[in-house]
Amino acid sequence: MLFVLALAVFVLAIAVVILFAMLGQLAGRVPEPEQRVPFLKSLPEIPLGGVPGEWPPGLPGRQECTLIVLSTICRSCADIAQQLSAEPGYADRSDVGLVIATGARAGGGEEFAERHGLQRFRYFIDEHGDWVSAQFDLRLSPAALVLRGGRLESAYSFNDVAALLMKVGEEKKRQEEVRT
Amino acid sequence: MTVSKILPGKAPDGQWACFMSLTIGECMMPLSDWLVICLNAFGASVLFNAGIIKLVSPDALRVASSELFPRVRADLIRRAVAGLAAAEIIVSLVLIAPGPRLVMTGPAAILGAGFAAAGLWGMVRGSSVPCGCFGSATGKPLGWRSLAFGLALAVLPPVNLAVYRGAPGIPYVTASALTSSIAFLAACLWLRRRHIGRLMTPVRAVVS
Repeated sequence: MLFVLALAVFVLAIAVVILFAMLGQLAGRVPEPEQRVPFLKSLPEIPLGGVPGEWPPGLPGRQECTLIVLSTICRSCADIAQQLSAEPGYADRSDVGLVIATGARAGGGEEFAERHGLQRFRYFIDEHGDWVSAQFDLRLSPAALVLRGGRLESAYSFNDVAALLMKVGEEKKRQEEVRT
Repeated sequence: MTVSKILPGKAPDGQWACFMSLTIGECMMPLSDWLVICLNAFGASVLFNAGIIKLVSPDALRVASSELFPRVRADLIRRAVAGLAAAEIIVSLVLIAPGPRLVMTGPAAILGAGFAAAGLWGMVRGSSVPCGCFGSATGKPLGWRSLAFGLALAVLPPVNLAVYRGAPGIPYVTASALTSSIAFLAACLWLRRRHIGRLMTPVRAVVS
Protein backbone atom coordinates (compact mmCIF):
# COMPACT_ATOMS: atom_id res chain seq x y z
CA MET A 1 0.00 0.00 0.00
CA LEU A 2 2.69 2.45 1.04
CA PHE A 3 4.75 1.34 -1.92
CA VAL A 4 1.98 2.36 -4.32
CA LEU A 5 1.46 5.65 -2.50
CA ALA A 6 5.21 6.36 -2.63
CA LEU A 7 5.28 5.81 -6.38
CA ALA A 8 2.23 8.05 -6.82
CA VAL A 9 3.90 10.81 -4.80
CA PHE A 10 7.06 10.39 -6.88
CA VAL A 11 5.12 10.77 -10.14
CA LEU A 12 3.44 13.89 -8.74
CA ALA A 13 6.83 15.33 -7.74
CA ILE A 14 8.11 14.80 -11.29
CA ALA A 15 5.02 16.55 -12.66
CA VAL A 16 5.59 19.53 -10.34
CA VAL A 17 9.24 19.82 -11.43
CA ILE A 18 8.18 19.83 -15.10
CA LEU A 19 5.48 22.42 -14.39
CA PHE A 20 7.97 24.72 -12.66
CA ALA A 21 10.42 24.35 -15.55
CA MET A 22 7.68 25.44 -17.94
CA LEU A 23 6.81 28.31 -15.60
CA GLY A 24 10.43 29.48 -15.82
CA GLN A 25 10.26 29.36 -19.62
CA LEU A 26 7.01 31.31 -19.54
CA ALA A 27 8.47 33.90 -17.15
CA GLY A 28 11.29 34.48 -19.63
CA ARG A 29 8.75 35.74 -22.14
CA VAL A 30 7.31 38.32 -19.75
CA PRO A 31 9.31 41.53 -19.26
CA GLU A 32 10.24 42.73 -15.80
CA PRO A 33 7.68 45.17 -14.41
CA GLU A 34 10.38 47.72 -13.58
CA GLN A 35 11.37 50.48 -15.97
CA ARG A 36 13.12 49.11 -19.05
CA VAL A 37 16.91 49.42 -19.16
CA PRO A 38 18.28 49.43 -22.73
CA PHE A 39 19.86 46.09 -23.45
CA LEU A 40 21.88 45.01 -26.50
CA LYS A 41 23.97 41.87 -26.69
CA SER A 42 25.55 40.09 -29.62
CA LEU A 43 24.57 36.45 -30.12
CA PRO A 44 27.75 34.35 -30.25
CA GLU A 45 25.88 31.17 -31.18
CA ILE A 46 24.70 32.58 -34.52
CA PRO A 47 27.21 31.76 -37.30
CA LEU A 48 28.24 34.99 -39.03
CA GLY A 49 29.32 35.48 -42.62
CA GLY A 50 26.63 33.25 -44.11
CA VAL A 51 24.75 34.19 -47.27
CA PRO A 52 21.00 33.49 -47.11
CA GLY A 53 19.97 31.04 -49.82
CA GLU A 54 16.57 32.52 -50.47
CA TRP A 55 15.27 35.99 -49.83
CA PRO A 56 11.55 36.44 -49.26
CA PRO A 57 9.62 39.22 -50.98
CA GLY A 58 8.65 42.21 -48.90
CA LEU A 59 11.99 42.63 -47.13
CA PRO A 60 14.57 45.33 -47.97
CA GLY A 61 17.42 44.39 -50.30
CA ARG A 62 19.78 41.88 -48.75
CA GLN A 63 22.90 43.87 -49.69
CA GLU A 64 22.55 46.16 -46.71
CA CYS A 65 19.74 45.87 -44.25
CA THR A 66 18.79 45.29 -40.62
CA LEU A 67 16.16 42.64 -40.00
CA ILE A 68 14.26 42.83 -36.73
CA VAL A 69 12.93 39.39 -35.86
CA LEU A 70 9.75 39.37 -33.77
CA SER A 71 7.54 36.53 -32.65
CA THR A 72 3.78 36.65 -32.32
CA ILE A 73 3.93 34.75 -29.02
CA CYS A 74 6.62 36.70 -27.17
CA ARG A 75 5.67 39.53 -24.85
CA SER A 76 8.99 41.34 -25.31
CA CYS A 77 8.33 41.34 -29.07
CA ALA A 78 5.05 43.16 -28.48
CA ASP A 79 7.04 45.80 -26.59
CA ILE A 80 9.48 46.12 -29.51
CA ALA A 81 6.54 46.37 -31.92
CA GLN A 82 5.10 49.24 -29.88
CA GLN A 83 8.45 51.05 -29.99
CA LEU A 84 8.54 50.62 -33.76
CA SER A 85 5.05 51.92 -34.34
CA ALA A 86 5.53 54.82 -31.90
CA GLU A 87 8.36 56.34 -33.96
CA PRO A 88 7.24 57.09 -37.56
CA GLY A 89 10.85 57.55 -38.73
CA TYR A 90 11.59 53.85 -38.35
CA ALA A 91 9.11 52.84 -41.04
CA ASP A 92 10.62 55.35 -43.48
CA ARG A 93 14.04 53.73 -43.30
CA SER A 94 14.64 51.66 -46.40
CA ASP A 95 17.23 49.47 -44.69
CA VAL A 96 15.02 48.21 -41.87
CA GLY A 97 12.78 45.17 -42.34
CA LEU A 98 10.72 43.05 -39.99
CA VAL A 99 10.49 39.28 -39.86
CA ILE A 100 7.37 38.29 -37.94
CA ALA A 101 7.67 34.65 -36.89
CA THR A 102 4.45 32.90 -35.97
CA GLY A 103 4.22 30.42 -33.11
CA ALA A 104 3.57 26.69 -33.17
CA ARG A 105 0.18 27.29 -34.74
CA ALA A 106 0.44 28.87 -38.16
CA GLY A 107 -1.25 32.20 -38.81
CA GLY A 108 -1.54 35.30 -36.71
CA GLY A 109 1.35 37.14 -38.33
CA GLU A 110 -0.80 39.62 -40.25
CA GLU A 111 -2.95 40.10 -37.16
CA PHE A 112 0.18 40.88 -35.12
CA ALA A 113 1.32 43.45 -37.70
CA GLU A 114 -2.13 45.05 -37.77
CA ARG A 115 -2.54 45.08 -33.98
CA HIS A 116 0.76 46.89 -33.48
CA GLY A 117 0.52 49.20 -36.50
CA LEU A 118 3.43 47.66 -38.41
CA GLN A 119 1.83 47.64 -41.88
CA ARG A 120 3.91 50.63 -42.98
CA PHE A 121 7.11 48.60 -42.51
CA ARG A 122 8.66 46.20 -45.00
CA TYR A 123 7.90 42.89 -43.39
CA PHE A 124 7.71 39.18 -44.02
CA ILE A 125 5.50 36.70 -42.18
CA ASP A 126 7.70 33.71 -41.35
CA GLU A 127 5.43 30.75 -40.53
CA HIS A 128 6.80 28.90 -37.47
CA GLY A 129 10.05 30.90 -37.84
CA ASP A 130 11.15 28.35 -40.46
CA TRP A 131 12.97 30.88 -42.65
CA VAL A 132 15.11 32.55 -39.95
CA SER A 133 15.98 29.24 -38.35
CA ALA A 134 16.94 27.63 -41.68
CA GLN A 135 18.89 30.60 -43.07
CA PHE A 136 20.49 32.03 -39.93
CA ASP A 137 20.10 29.32 -37.28
CA LEU A 138 18.18 31.86 -35.19
CA ARG A 139 15.70 30.48 -32.67
CA LEU A 140 15.08 33.30 -30.24
CA SER A 141 13.28 36.60 -30.39
CA PRO A 142 13.35 39.53 -30.31
CA ALA A 143 16.58 39.59 -32.27
CA ALA A 144 18.21 41.66 -34.97
CA LEU A 145 20.21 40.45 -37.97
CA VAL A 146 22.50 42.92 -39.72
CA LEU A 147 23.46 42.11 -43.31
CA ARG A 148 26.13 43.88 -45.27
CA GLY A 149 27.32 42.92 -48.74
CA GLY A 150 24.68 40.18 -48.72
CA ARG A 151 26.32 38.44 -45.75
CA LEU A 152 25.24 38.22 -42.15
CA GLU A 153 27.56 40.60 -40.35
CA SER A 154 26.18 40.61 -36.81
CA ALA A 155 23.29 39.29 -34.74
CA TYR A 156 21.91 40.86 -31.59
CA SER A 157 19.45 40.24 -28.82
CA PHE A 158 17.96 43.54 -27.70
CA ASN A 159 15.07 45.32 -26.02
CA ASP A 160 15.44 48.85 -27.32
CA VAL A 161 15.06 49.75 -31.00
CA ALA A 162 16.83 53.13 -30.69
CA ALA A 163 19.87 51.51 -29.03
CA LEU A 164 19.95 48.83 -31.72
CA LEU A 165 19.82 51.22 -34.67
CA MET A 166 22.41 53.48 -33.03
CA LYS A 167 24.75 50.50 -32.67
CA VAL A 168 24.16 49.46 -36.29
CA GLY A 169 24.88 53.04 -37.44
CA GLU A 170 28.09 53.16 -35.40
CA GLU A 171 29.26 49.86 -36.86
CA LYS A 172 28.54 51.04 -40.38
CA LYS A 173 30.40 54.30 -39.81
CA ARG A 174 33.38 52.48 -38.33
CA GLN A 175 33.59 50.15 -41.32
CA GLU A 176 33.43 53.04 -43.76
CA GLU A 177 36.28 54.73 -41.89
CA VAL A 178 38.34 51.54 -42.08
CA ARG A 179 37.73 51.32 -45.83
CA THR A 180 38.74 54.94 -46.44
CA MET B 1 4.72 -5.77 21.50
CA THR B 2 6.26 -3.99 18.52
CA VAL B 3 3.90 -3.22 15.72
CA SER B 4 6.60 -3.81 13.14
CA LYS B 5 6.60 -7.53 13.93
CA ILE B 6 2.95 -7.96 12.97
CA LEU B 7 2.88 -9.49 9.54
CA PRO B 8 0.57 -8.01 6.90
CA GLY B 9 -2.67 -9.97 6.75
CA LYS B 10 -2.36 -11.27 10.30
CA ALA B 11 -3.29 -8.09 12.12
CA PRO B 12 -5.86 -8.77 14.87
CA ASP B 13 -7.54 -5.37 14.57
CA GLY B 14 -8.53 -5.46 10.93
CA GLN B 15 -7.42 -3.33 7.99
CA TRP B 16 -6.05 -0.35 9.89
CA ALA B 17 -3.69 -2.44 12.01
CA CYS B 18 -2.61 -4.25 8.86
CA PHE B 19 -1.84 -0.94 7.18
CA MET B 20 0.11 0.28 10.23
CA SER B 21 2.22 -2.85 10.34
CA LEU B 22 2.93 -2.59 6.66
CA THR B 23 3.83 1.07 7.01
CA ILE B 24 6.27 0.61 9.86
CA GLY B 25 7.62 -2.63 8.50
CA GLU B 26 8.32 -1.09 5.12
CA CYS B 27 10.41 1.67 6.62
CA MET B 28 12.63 -0.54 8.81
CA MET B 29 16.06 -0.42 7.20
CA PRO B 30 19.65 -0.11 8.33
CA LEU B 31 21.03 3.41 8.68
CA SER B 32 23.50 2.75 5.87
CA ASP B 33 20.61 2.20 3.44
CA TRP B 34 19.08 5.52 4.48
CA LEU B 35 22.45 7.21 3.89
CA VAL B 36 22.62 5.78 0.37
CA ILE B 37 18.99 6.69 -0.31
CA CYS B 38 19.49 10.30 0.79
CA LEU B 39 22.73 10.73 -1.15
CA ASN B 40 21.32 9.18 -4.32
CA ALA B 41 18.13 11.23 -3.97
CA PHE B 42 20.24 14.39 -3.73
CA GLY B 43 22.21 13.46 -6.84
CA ALA B 44 19.08 12.45 -8.72
CA SER B 45 17.26 15.68 -7.79
CA VAL B 46 20.12 17.82 -9.10
CA LEU B 47 20.39 15.82 -12.33
CA PHE B 48 16.64 15.62 -12.95
CA ASN B 49 16.02 19.34 -12.44
CA ALA B 50 19.01 20.19 -14.62
CA GLY B 51 17.84 17.82 -17.38
CA ILE B 52 14.27 19.05 -17.43
CA ILE B 53 15.34 22.71 -17.58
CA LYS B 54 17.73 21.95 -20.44
CA LEU B 55 14.92 20.25 -22.35
CA VAL B 56 12.40 23.05 -21.79
CA SER B 57 14.72 26.04 -22.29
CA PRO B 58 18.13 25.04 -23.65
CA ASP B 59 19.12 28.52 -24.84
CA ALA B 60 21.05 29.58 -21.72
CA LEU B 61 23.46 26.65 -21.84
CA ARG B 62 23.74 26.90 -25.63
CA VAL B 63 24.83 30.53 -25.41
CA ALA B 64 27.26 29.80 -22.54
CA SER B 65 28.73 26.85 -24.46
CA SER B 66 29.14 28.97 -27.59
CA GLU B 67 31.05 31.50 -25.53
CA LEU B 68 33.41 28.84 -24.17
CA PHE B 69 33.76 26.91 -27.45
CA PRO B 70 33.44 29.53 -30.20
CA ARG B 71 34.75 27.22 -32.91
CA VAL B 72 32.16 24.48 -32.39
CA ARG B 73 29.20 24.65 -34.79
CA ALA B 74 25.89 25.84 -33.34
CA ASP B 75 23.93 22.75 -34.43
CA LEU B 76 26.48 20.48 -32.73
CA ILE B 77 26.12 22.45 -29.50
CA ARG B 78 22.32 22.22 -29.75
CA ARG B 79 22.46 18.45 -30.16
CA ALA B 80 24.98 18.10 -27.36
CA VAL B 81 22.73 20.08 -24.98
CA ALA B 82 19.70 17.94 -25.90
CA GLY B 83 21.74 14.74 -25.47
CA LEU B 84 23.07 15.90 -22.12
CA ALA B 85 19.54 16.69 -20.94
CA ALA B 86 18.30 13.22 -21.90
CA ALA B 87 21.30 11.58 -20.23
CA GLU B 88 20.76 13.53 -17.01
CA ILE B 89 17.08 12.53 -16.80
CA ILE B 90 17.75 8.85 -17.50
CA VAL B 91 20.67 8.64 -15.06
CA SER B 92 18.69 10.45 -12.35
CA LEU B 93 15.74 8.06 -12.57
CA VAL B 94 17.86 4.91 -12.58
CA LEU B 95 20.03 6.27 -9.78
CA ILE B 96 17.14 6.00 -7.31
CA ALA B 97 15.93 2.60 -8.53
CA PRO B 98 16.97 -0.36 -6.37
CA GLY B 99 18.67 -2.69 -8.84
CA PRO B 100 21.14 -0.93 -11.09
CA ARG B 101 22.22 1.86 -8.74
CA LEU B 102 25.75 0.52 -8.54
CA VAL B 103 25.90 0.51 -12.34
CA MET B 104 24.28 3.94 -12.71
CA THR B 105 26.34 5.74 -10.08
CA GLY B 106 29.21 5.40 -12.56
CA PRO B 107 27.52 7.52 -15.28
CA ALA B 108 26.35 9.95 -12.58
CA ALA B 109 29.95 10.35 -11.47
CA ILE B 110 31.07 10.80 -15.09
CA LEU B 111 28.44 13.53 -15.55
CA GLY B 112 29.61 15.09 -12.28
CA ALA B 113 33.22 15.06 -13.48
CA GLY B 114 32.04 16.74 -16.69
CA PHE B 115 30.20 19.44 -14.72
CA ALA B 116 33.26 20.01 -12.55
CA ALA B 117 35.50 20.29 -15.63
CA ALA B 118 33.04 22.72 -17.29
CA GLY B 119 32.93 24.81 -14.10
CA LEU B 120 36.72 24.86 -13.93
CA TRP B 121 36.97 25.76 -17.61
CA GLY B 122 34.43 28.56 -17.10
CA MET B 123 36.46 29.95 -14.18
CA VAL B 124 39.70 29.79 -16.19
CA ARG B 125 38.13 31.45 -19.25
CA GLY B 126 36.24 33.99 -17.14
CA SER B 127 32.83 33.00 -18.48
CA SER B 128 30.28 35.79 -18.10
CA VAL B 129 27.15 34.46 -19.82
CA PRO B 130 24.45 32.95 -17.53
CA CYS B 131 24.48 29.20 -18.12
CA GLY B 132 21.28 28.16 -16.35
CA CYS B 133 23.38 25.41 -14.77
CA PHE B 134 21.41 22.81 -12.78
CA GLY B 135 18.23 24.60 -13.72
CA SER B 136 19.22 27.71 -11.80
CA ALA B 137 17.50 30.96 -12.74
CA THR B 138 19.98 33.16 -10.86
CA GLY B 139 21.88 34.19 -13.98
CA LYS B 140 25.26 32.88 -12.76
CA PRO B 141 27.86 31.78 -15.35
CA LEU B 142 29.78 28.49 -15.39
CA GLY B 143 31.99 28.57 -12.29
CA TRP B 144 32.50 27.25 -8.78
CA ARG B 145 28.88 26.07 -8.40
CA SER B 146 29.29 23.64 -11.30
CA LEU B 147 32.61 22.54 -9.82
CA ALA B 148 31.10 21.91 -6.37
CA PHE B 149 28.01 20.07 -7.63
CA GLY B 150 30.15 18.01 -10.01
CA LEU B 151 32.47 16.91 -7.22
CA ALA B 152 29.47 16.07 -5.00
CA LEU B 153 28.11 13.76 -7.72
CA ALA B 154 31.52 12.14 -8.07
CA VAL B 155 31.38 10.77 -4.48
CA LEU B 156 28.26 8.68 -5.18
CA PRO B 157 29.98 5.49 -6.46
CA PRO B 158 32.36 5.06 -3.50
CA VAL B 159 29.55 5.52 -0.96
CA ASN B 160 27.26 3.09 -2.81
CA LEU B 161 30.07 0.55 -3.09
CA ALA B 162 30.91 0.88 0.61
CA VAL B 163 27.41 0.08 1.87
CA TYR B 164 26.09 -2.20 -0.88
CA ARG B 165 24.28 -5.23 0.58
CA GLY B 166 22.90 -6.91 -2.50
CA ALA B 167 19.61 -6.16 -4.22
CA PRO B 168 17.30 -4.35 -1.76
CA GLY B 169 13.58 -5.01 -1.66
CA ILE B 170 10.29 -3.16 -1.40
CA PRO B 171 11.26 -1.13 1.72
CA TYR B 172 14.21 0.35 -0.13
CA VAL B 173 12.11 1.28 -3.19
CA THR B 174 9.40 2.81 -1.03
CA ALA B 175 11.81 4.88 1.01
CA SER B 176 13.77 5.84 -2.09
CA ALA B 177 10.64 7.03 -3.92
CA LEU B 178 9.46 9.12 -0.96
CA THR B 179 12.88 10.61 -0.21
CA SER B 180 13.48 11.37 -3.86
CA SER B 181 10.09 13.08 -4.12
CA ILE B 182 11.04 15.37 -1.25
CA ALA B 183 14.50 16.00 -2.75
CA PHE B 184 13.09 16.70 -6.24
CA LEU B 185 10.58 19.21 -4.86
CA ALA B 186 13.08 20.88 -2.52
CA ALA B 187 15.62 21.28 -5.34
CA CYS B 188 12.91 22.57 -7.67
CA LEU B 189 11.68 25.16 -5.15
CA TRP B 190 15.23 26.30 -4.41
CA LEU B 191 16.23 26.60 -8.07
CA ARG B 192 13.02 28.42 -9.08
CA ARG B 193 12.96 30.69 -6.00
CA ARG B 194 13.30 33.85 -8.12
CA HIS B 195 10.25 33.03 -10.20
CA ILE B 196 8.29 32.04 -7.12
CA GLY B 197 9.25 35.29 -5.40
CA ARG B 198 8.19 37.21 -8.47
CA LEU B 199 4.82 35.49 -8.51
CA MET B 200 4.34 36.20 -4.81
CA THR B 201 5.03 39.93 -5.28
CA PRO B 202 1.78 41.86 -5.71
CA VAL B 203 1.54 43.82 -8.96
CA ARG B 204 1.17 47.53 -8.33
CA ALA B 205 -1.70 49.14 -10.15
CA VAL B 206 -0.85 52.05 -12.45
CA VAL B 207 -2.96 55.11 -11.64
CA SER B 208 -3.13 57.72 -14.38
